[in-house]
Amino acid sequence: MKPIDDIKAFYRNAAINTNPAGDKVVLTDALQAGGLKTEKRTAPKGPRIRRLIMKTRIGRLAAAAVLALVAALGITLMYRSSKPVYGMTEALERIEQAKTLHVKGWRHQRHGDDEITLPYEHWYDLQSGRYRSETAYYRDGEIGNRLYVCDGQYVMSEGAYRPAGGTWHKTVDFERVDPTRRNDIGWVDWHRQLRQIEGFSRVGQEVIDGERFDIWQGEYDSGVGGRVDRVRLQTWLSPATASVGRVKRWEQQEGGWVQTSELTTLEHDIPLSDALFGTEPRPGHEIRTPKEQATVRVRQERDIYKGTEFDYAPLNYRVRHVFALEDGSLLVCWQGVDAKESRDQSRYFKQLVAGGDLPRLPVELYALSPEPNVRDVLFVGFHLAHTEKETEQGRRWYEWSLFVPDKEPPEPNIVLVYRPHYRLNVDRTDEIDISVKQIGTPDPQKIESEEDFNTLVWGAMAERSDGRSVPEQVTYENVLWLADEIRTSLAQ
Amino acid sequence: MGTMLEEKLLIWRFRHGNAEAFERIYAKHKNDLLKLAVVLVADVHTAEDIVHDVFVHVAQTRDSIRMNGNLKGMLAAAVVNRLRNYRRDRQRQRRRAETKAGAPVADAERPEQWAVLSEQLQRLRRAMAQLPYEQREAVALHVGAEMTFPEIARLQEVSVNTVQGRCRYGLEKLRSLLNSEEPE
Repeated sequence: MKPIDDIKAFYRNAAINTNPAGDKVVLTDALQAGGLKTEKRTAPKGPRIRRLIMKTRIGRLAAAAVLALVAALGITLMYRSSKPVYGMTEALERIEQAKTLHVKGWRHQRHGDDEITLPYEHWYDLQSGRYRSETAYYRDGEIGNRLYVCDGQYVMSEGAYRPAGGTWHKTVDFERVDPTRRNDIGWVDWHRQLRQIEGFSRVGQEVIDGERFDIWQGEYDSGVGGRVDRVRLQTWLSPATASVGRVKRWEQQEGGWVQTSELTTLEHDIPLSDALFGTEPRPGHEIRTPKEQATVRVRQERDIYKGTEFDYAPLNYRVRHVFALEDGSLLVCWQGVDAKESRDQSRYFKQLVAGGDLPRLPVELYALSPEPNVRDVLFVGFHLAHTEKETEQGRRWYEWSLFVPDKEPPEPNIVLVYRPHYRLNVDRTDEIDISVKQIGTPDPQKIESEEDFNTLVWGAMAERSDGRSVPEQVTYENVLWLADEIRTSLAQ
Repeated sequence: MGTMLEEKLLIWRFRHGNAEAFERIYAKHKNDLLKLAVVLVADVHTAEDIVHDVFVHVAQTRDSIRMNGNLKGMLAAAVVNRLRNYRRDRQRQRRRAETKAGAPVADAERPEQWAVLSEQLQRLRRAMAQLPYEQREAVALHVGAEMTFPEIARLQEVSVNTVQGRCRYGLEKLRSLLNSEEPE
C-alpha cells in the first residue's frame, strides 16, 4: 500500500500541459481585458509645486514652511483647474523667494454649545531659522495663549497649568533646537491636511481694500483612516498682483458646512523686529527648564510589548524611525511581535539578505503608502539589516527595511503620513487582533548627504543595538546602490 | 537574486501594466491552477473556463495584488472561490431544470481542449471525484497549492483542526482509491 507521502508525491507528479492555441486565447483575452500593453507605462509627472520649490534651495525651514503655506492656499491643484490660471506662478514664486512671512488668522472651535474663536499669528524669519508662534487655546472654560519662540538656538515655550482647585501657573520651558529634526517646526502641522485639495474653480470676485480678488473654491477629504472630514476651501487671489487676500475653510458637519478657520493676513518680505524672536521669559512666568538645563527633546517611546497583554490583542508593531533618501526611497526601522510566542525573535532574522524578503515577523510591515496619495504610489519593503538590543524590558529585535516606491514618489515634505500596510504571519486560528493600528509613521528625516546618513541613520541604529554597533554593510553608498538596483530591475 | 524577490519584481512590473510580466506569471502558474481546477471540478472544460476567468480577472484587477502576498496562494484561492460560485450556480440551475423538465442540464461539448492531462492526472481526477468536496478542496490546496492549514482554514472558514481532519481523511481515502485501481 502506498504511504501518505507517496500519495502526495503522486498528486504533485500528476502532469498537466496546455496547448499553445489555448494559451494564446487566454492570454489575448486577459491582456485585452486588463488593458495591458508591452510598452512601459510612463510615471506621472510630479506636481509643479515640487519642482518650483526644490529647484532653489532656500533652506530647510523655509521649504517646509513654504510648502505648508502653499498647501494651505490651495494653489497646488489650481494648476489642474480647467479655468484660466493667472497669478499662480507669481504667487508661488513670491512665497518661494520670501525672506520673511507673516501669517495671521483665526480658528473656530465648538465646545458643547459654546462657539469659540481662537486667533493665531506666526512670524517666520526664513533665513535664520527663527520663528514666533502665538496661538490662542481653550481649556477648562478659559482661553489662554500658547507661545513658541525660536531664536535659532533655543525654543522657548510658554505654557500654563492649574493644580486641582488652584489657580493658573504660567510656565516657561526651554529646549535646544535639534538640527536633526528638520520637519519639526510645530505649528505648521495644521496646514498639512490641506494638501489634498483638488478640482478648484472660480466662484466669484470681491474687492478688498481697493484690490480685486478672484475667489477660488474646492472641496476635498481631509484626514486618514476613520477620521476623514469633508472640507471646503476658498482662496482669494488677486489676478493683478497675485497676492493672497484671504483663505477660508469649512468642514461638513451634520447641520451643514461650518467654518473652522480663516487666514486673514499673508504678508511676505516685510521687516520683522528682532524683538519678535527674543527668548527672554516674560514677567510672571515660572521658569521650569532654564536655558542652562535645556536639552533636545527626547521622544517618549512605549515598549513594543506594551498593549499586548490582552489575549484578544497580542500582536503589535511599531515604526521607530523613517528616513527619506534622496532617491525617494524610505529607510524604516520597525518591529512586529506576538506576545503569545517566544520573545526570542532571532529565528526570524536568519538567512536574510539585503535587498531580499522581509523577515516574516508575526506582524510584517510589507509596504507603505503616502497620504495623500494622488499618484497611487506604493513603497514596497525589502530587507536591509537588523539590530538587536538588550533593554530594561528584555531583548528587542529591530528590522531595518528599504521601502522603494513603485512610481515617482511625492516629495516627503508634502506627505501627511505614510500609512503602514501589514500582514499577520500567525499560525493559529484563535480570535486574533492587533493591539496597535498606527495611522501613520513618524515624520521622515531627510537624508541629503553621506554626512546626514552617518549622523542620523547610524545614530539611530546605534541607539537600537548592543554596544552601539552598526551593521557594516549599511553605508550611504550601499543603501543608495541597493535602492537603485531594485529600481533598475523594475524598470527593465 | 532570490526567487521571492524575483516574483516580487514580477508582480511589481505586472502592476505597472507590463504585459510580459503577466505572461510570465501566466506561464508559471497556469498548469498548477488548471490541475487544481481539474481535480476539484472533474469536468475539464469547466476547469478551463474557471482558470481562464481567473487570469482575466487578475489582469483587470492587477492593482489589488499585494506585492508581498503569496501569489500562488492568491491565485489558488481565486480558483477555489470561482469554483464554489460555479457549483452554487449549477445547483440552482439543476434544481430549476429538474423542476421544469425533470432532468439535469448537460454541459455543452467544446471542440477543442486547452488542458492536456497525463494518465496519472486522469487517475488522480477520478479518485478525487469520489471524495466529499470539502475534503477534495482541502487536499488540493494543501498538497497542490502548498497552502498551510491556517491559510486553508481561513479560506474554508473552518478551524485548523477541521482542515487537518479533512486532509488526513481525504489523503487516506485517496490512498485507498488509488491503490485499489493500481495495476498489478
